[in-house]
Amino acid sequence: MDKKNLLTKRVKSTVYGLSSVVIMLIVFAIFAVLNMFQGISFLSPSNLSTILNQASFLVIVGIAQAIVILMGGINLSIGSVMALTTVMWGDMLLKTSEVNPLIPAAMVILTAAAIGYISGLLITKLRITPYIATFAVMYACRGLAWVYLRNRVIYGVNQAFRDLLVGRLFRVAGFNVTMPMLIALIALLAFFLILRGTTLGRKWYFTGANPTAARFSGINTDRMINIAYTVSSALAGFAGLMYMARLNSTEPGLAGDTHFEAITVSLIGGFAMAGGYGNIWGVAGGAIVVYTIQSGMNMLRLPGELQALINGVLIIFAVYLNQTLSKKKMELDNDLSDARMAQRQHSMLKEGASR
Amino acid sequence: MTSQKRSVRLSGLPNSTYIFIIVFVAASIIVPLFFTPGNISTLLTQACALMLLSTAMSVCLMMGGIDLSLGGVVSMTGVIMAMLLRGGAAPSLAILAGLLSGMVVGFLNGVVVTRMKVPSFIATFGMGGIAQSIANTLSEKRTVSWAAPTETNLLTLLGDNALTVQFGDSAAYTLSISVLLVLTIFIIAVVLLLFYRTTLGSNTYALGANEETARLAGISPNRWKTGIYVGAGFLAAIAGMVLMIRTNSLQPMIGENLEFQAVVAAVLGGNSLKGGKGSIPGAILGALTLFTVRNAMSLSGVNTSVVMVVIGCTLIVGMVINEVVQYYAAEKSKARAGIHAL
Repeated sequence: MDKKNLLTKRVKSTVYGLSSVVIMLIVFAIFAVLNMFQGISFLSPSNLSTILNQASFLVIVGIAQAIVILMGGINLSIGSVMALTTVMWGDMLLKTSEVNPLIPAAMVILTAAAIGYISGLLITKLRITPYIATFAVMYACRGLAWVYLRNRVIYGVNQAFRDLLVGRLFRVAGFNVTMPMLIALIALLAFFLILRGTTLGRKWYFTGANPTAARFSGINTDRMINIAYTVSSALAGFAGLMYMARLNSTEPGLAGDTHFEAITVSLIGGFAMAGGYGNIWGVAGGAIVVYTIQSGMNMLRLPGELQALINGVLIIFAVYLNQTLSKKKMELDNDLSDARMAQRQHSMLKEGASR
Repeated sequence: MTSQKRSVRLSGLPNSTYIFIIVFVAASIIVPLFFTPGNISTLLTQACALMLLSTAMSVCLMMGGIDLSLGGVVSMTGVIMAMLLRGGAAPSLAILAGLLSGMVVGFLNGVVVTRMKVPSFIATFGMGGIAQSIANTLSEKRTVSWAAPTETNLLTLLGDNALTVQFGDSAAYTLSISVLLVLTIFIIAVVLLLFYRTTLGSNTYALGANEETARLAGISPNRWKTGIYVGAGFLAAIAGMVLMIRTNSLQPMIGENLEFQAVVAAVLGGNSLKGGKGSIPGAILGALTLFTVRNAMSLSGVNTSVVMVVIGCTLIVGMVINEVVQYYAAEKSKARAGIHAL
């Protein structure tokens, strides 16, 4: 096999590996062209920054879902945890409150983590399927939030707290850099490092790929699953704070569809439902895709009913493309490693002959 | 010997039997108006749609798939039927069109899952969004109602009561079995016969347990999967019809979240999301459990948000009972195996 062929294969394999980026570019291209006919510049810096800003919120919930999907589970309680925790401590985060907003914020995250730990226990100790366990937790949390707040809405969040979470940092050539973008970037980086560089991360991947094998090789899989659900839920609590800061209010119905969005984001981002496969940066791509679709269709002034239709088609198409590409990448990687092996054998033979 | 027999019977019943009995007895004792003929007939008629959907869902789950488009299909087929009726079409024609459209969506599900190899979770989820959005677009998100028929036709026939038995003079003491309930039971019976008396059942279990071995054993996964999704679409369309006739009008969001309740009912009934095990009767009992909880709580005037919490807790208790039953069944069979070994 000649070198040029190998090189193109290597490039192709890298491109296929970035499937969520490919999907992102395709979606961008579609909406840029469609909007061009309407005379709207979709790719203007201000619009791009809006998309990135909104996608940042999805990145946080996307990571929360992705780490659970990585363990072969699913977390349906994300949205309702966001609602319950912010509703519980929301009064302390208001302008009228005397308490330092960091205290209720910490309590929100701790409460969310506790709920996640309960989900983890339901799954590992009581052996309930993740889908059902988190569904039950979702119902319970949403119900409790309604019971707690009745029909009230918590409104008027502390401004300093809002600035901290959703404020604008600076502006470059019409492109606004905002706090959510920074937070999302930090979160992505942190989880990239955790998954890539720590034993915890490697154990997560291993547990997700094959729980039995992981258990037999001495990993406490139950503990890994507990940690994953706790972290996922704590992230949901944090996302709840961000949503609350953005909306300047919270209510028991907050984030009604967020668990779906989170699932969509992580699946488009290349995480496999079966567990053990996925790259955290894919979540960023997935979040941008989901929000680009929403924003693109809003700009085209399509009726909301039709948006759901196009959304459905695009989700199916995106996951299809994702799968096809990752399969091709696997084939190419096999070829490449075969070629590498052949090369090594060849050179060894040569060495042997020269001796 | 007797204890052995009992243990066999214990593990033979669908898992949700126990939680259903517990919930039902508790509701009868605590809520005074619950165990009356009138309320039981209301409960059963309300549960019709969910029983049909959980039947469909449990077959999909056993096959190793999932059908999250069921709720969307219920809305879509309901809207199509209702709009045709409003336009003055013959009821039989409207119902036929609804059933066909449900099967078309099921077929598309099958194609996306088998040909495009998209995981069933996301394929049917997307398809459900598409179906729901078709329902919303056609009806412009408004309730569809139609002129009441002047003479007896298929609709009035289906909306009637098949049997009314008076136990007392008030409405609470009237047991009325609606035609819809009879129809639902008939359809479920047909599905059960097909499932347990033809190769459909064994092939479904085989596909769910291991698709590759099923394929090597000569079962065509693509054909069977597509067929099952078409069947699920058909059952969802029937559920849409039942809801439409029961409420005498159709609200386009009627199917929303129904697929989740169906999954919950099926899993409560011992179906695993990983496929290869479970039963249809279990799923139906699961559906009845959900409706018993809801009905009893609304009768006693409990706030709907508390109902949500209670349903969540019922689910967990139900799953724990499932686990305990399975554990004891396994222990018993282990003990028996030990005796045989000796």
